[in-house]
Amino acid sequence: MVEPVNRGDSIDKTRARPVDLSLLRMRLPISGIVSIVHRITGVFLLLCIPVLIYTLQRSLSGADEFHQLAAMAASPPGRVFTIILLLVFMQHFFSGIRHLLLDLHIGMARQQSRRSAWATFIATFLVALAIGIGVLL
Amino acid sequence: MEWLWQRLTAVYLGAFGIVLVVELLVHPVRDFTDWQRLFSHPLLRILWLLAFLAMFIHAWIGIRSVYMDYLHRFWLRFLANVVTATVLLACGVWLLLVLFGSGF
Repeated sequence: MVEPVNRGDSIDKTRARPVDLSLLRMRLPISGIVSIVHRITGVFLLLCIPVLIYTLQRSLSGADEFHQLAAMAASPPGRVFTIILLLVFMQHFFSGIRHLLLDLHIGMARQQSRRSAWATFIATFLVALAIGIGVLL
Repeated sequence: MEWLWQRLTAVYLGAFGIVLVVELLVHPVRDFTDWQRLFSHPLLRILWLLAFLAMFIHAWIGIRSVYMDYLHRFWLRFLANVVTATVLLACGVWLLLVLFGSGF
């Protein structure tokens, strides 16, 4: 429900304001994009939990299984999936840090907020690249 | 309280993730033995279990907020919460069995 707003001027504010919450018509500022991406990555990671537990189970069940899985991970589709998972996880991680800093009232001003929002995307790609190269090779 | 638990679990998971990455950079996993050791090392075991607990708590609080924001009918939201909670609990039990159950 929309509350009538009284801003102290002469315009009639006693009627509810029109509300347009169509997600498809809204243009989100970069901070808003980071926010919804943070949520989307979170849900994606949640959905990955059973898959990851199953993979862990298989990987610990024996040396043959382990090497089989390692080979699958090194295959082209395996690498693609790993990179995607890394990117999603890193984005959630960095926007999470930004969230925690905002909780401490750090980076609340608009320019700072926009810069930190961009920083999460840049950091995600850089770190995921570094980890991908370092761990997968 | 859930606001605080979300942040606490986030901080622990973040710190644990960093520790894990550093550990993998210093001691890369080359074979099955390395991989097993990663999960059987006494101190790491405790950290892993805390991490899994933190992960389930963090995931639960997160998805509960999502349901609250987008599912406005009581029964639909109730169902989503119950099903998700059950699945997450089952995953937690499954994980414990994978790490400590014999013959799993």
